[in-house]
Parts: sequence; C-alpha cells; structure tokens
Amino acid sequence: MNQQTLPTVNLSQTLRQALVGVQYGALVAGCFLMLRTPFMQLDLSVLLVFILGTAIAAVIHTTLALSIGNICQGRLDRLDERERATRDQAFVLAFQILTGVLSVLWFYGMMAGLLGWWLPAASQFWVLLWGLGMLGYGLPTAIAAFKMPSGVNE
Amino acid sequence: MTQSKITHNRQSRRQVVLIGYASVLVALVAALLDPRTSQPLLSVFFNLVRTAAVVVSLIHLFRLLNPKLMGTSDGPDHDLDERQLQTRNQAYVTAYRAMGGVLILLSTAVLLWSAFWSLPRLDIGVVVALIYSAVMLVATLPSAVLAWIEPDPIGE
Repeated sequence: MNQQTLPTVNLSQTLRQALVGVQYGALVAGCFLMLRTPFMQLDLSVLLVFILGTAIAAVIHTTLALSIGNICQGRLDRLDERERATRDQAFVLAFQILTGVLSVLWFYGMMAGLLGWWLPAASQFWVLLWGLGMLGYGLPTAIAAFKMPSGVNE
Repeated sequence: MTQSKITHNRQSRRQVVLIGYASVLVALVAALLDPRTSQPLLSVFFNLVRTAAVVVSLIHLFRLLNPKLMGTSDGPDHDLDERQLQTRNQAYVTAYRAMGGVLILLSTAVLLWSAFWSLPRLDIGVVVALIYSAVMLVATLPSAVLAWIEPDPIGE
C-alpha cells in the first residue's frame, strides 16, 4: 500500500463483507424508522436511534476505508495501477447501483400515485434524500471493501 | 464524412448535453407552473410545452448514450482500449461525486426547510416530473461528463 500517512486496519474479506451488510442494514433500518414518524412528531428516543444508526454507519465506513487503504477517497497519484483499476470499477458499479435504486423508486412512485399505495408525507421526503445521500457517499468504498481479497494492507 | 465530423466535434457534443439538460429543466418548470384546473387553457399550453420538452430531452439524452454517434470513449469494456477505459471510468468518478454532492445538499436543504416551514404537498404531475428529471439526469451524467471533457480526436 502507498498511503503510509494513514493508520491501517487489517480485516479479512469476510469481515469486511459482514461490516458492509451491517452498515447498509443500519441505514435501511434508520430510514424505515424515520419514515414511520412524521418529522414534527419525532420522539427523542427515535431521534437518538437514528443518530446512533448514522454514527455506526459512519464508523463502519471509516473502518472499511482504512482497511483498503482509502483508495476511493485518497489521492490518485498515490495509487498503483491495480488499486486504480479497483477504485474505478467500484465507482462504475456504484453509479449503476444508484441509478437502479433511483429507477426503482421512480417506478414505485408512479405506481403508488396511480394505485394509491403508501407514499411518504412531504415532511418525510428528506428521509429518502438523506438515505440516498448516505447510500451514495459510502457505496464505492463499500463495493471495493466487499470485493478486494484479504491481505491488501499487509 | 461531414455528418461524422459534426457529431464528433466537442462543441457539438456540448450542445447536445446543454440542449438535453435544458429541455429536462423546461419540462420540470412547466410541470411546476401548470395551473391545472384553475385555468384550463393555460394548463393546456403548459402541457404542450412540457410534452415538447420531454420529446426533445429524450432525443438528445438517448443520443448522448450512443457512443458511436457522440464519438466518445464510452461503451462496454471490451470495446475500449486502455486509454478509453481510463477516460470513461474517470467520467464515472466525476459524475458519481457530483451526484453524491447534490443528493447531500438537497437532503440538507429539505431537512432545514421542513424544520421551520411545512413542505407543500406536491401534485402527482410535479412528482412525476421531478422523478423523470432525476432519473434522466442520473442515467446520462457519466456520458454527459465524457461528452463535455473528451477532446477532439487528433486530426479532426
């Protein structure tokens, strides 16, 4: 690894994959919890759970990034060819996933409007945007951490 | 030969990007301004504008997705050489970061707004227009970045 200034974390591929599952599970659970509660009626306990979930996801994201040498956020000139290829593939796949998620949400929104399915209230719309933003922020790192083999930081 | 020179020129590619995205914006604004049942004649006008804008946006944005027409380093991995692959992937990185930034800014703005004022309940037509805009922009963003930044081939 080239980026000697950052602390390194050695994690096996299996552990990284499990952490990615926990990270996005916490994100989905947090968004689901917030969508059930209109913003101005938020209970303090619900808000604390949401903040805790976001904090856990952030800690996991940082840990994963350090375990793969921060290749998705770090400087391009510090990456070797293999790392750069891994990083590029992660961004391409992340973009395709995010496009897919947005398309599914679009399709659901159309069907919900036509068939009267559940739709979030206007005051809850920020939860969807927040969830998409959080999904998007860490997705390339999560993909790279999921796919890279064990021993990358050794 | 003349036709291929026109479509491969960076200036022409940038025009395709600008017209495509401008027409998406026009469609969205027309949906927002549509008075619907309160002024039926004006509503018809806005519907016509919105339909025309959607058609123009579909033509230009689908053209953007065709690398042979646009003359860009885009397409499946096996069709690209190493330089083209790197250029294309870098466009995805740029597009992804732009999209992520916009999502986070939007969510923060909506969150702050809803803390002090109530968000308006949107008409289904506006919701459809918003979602159409988001999907079209997101789906074509990497190709748009590539069309915007890729230089003209040497000799053309």
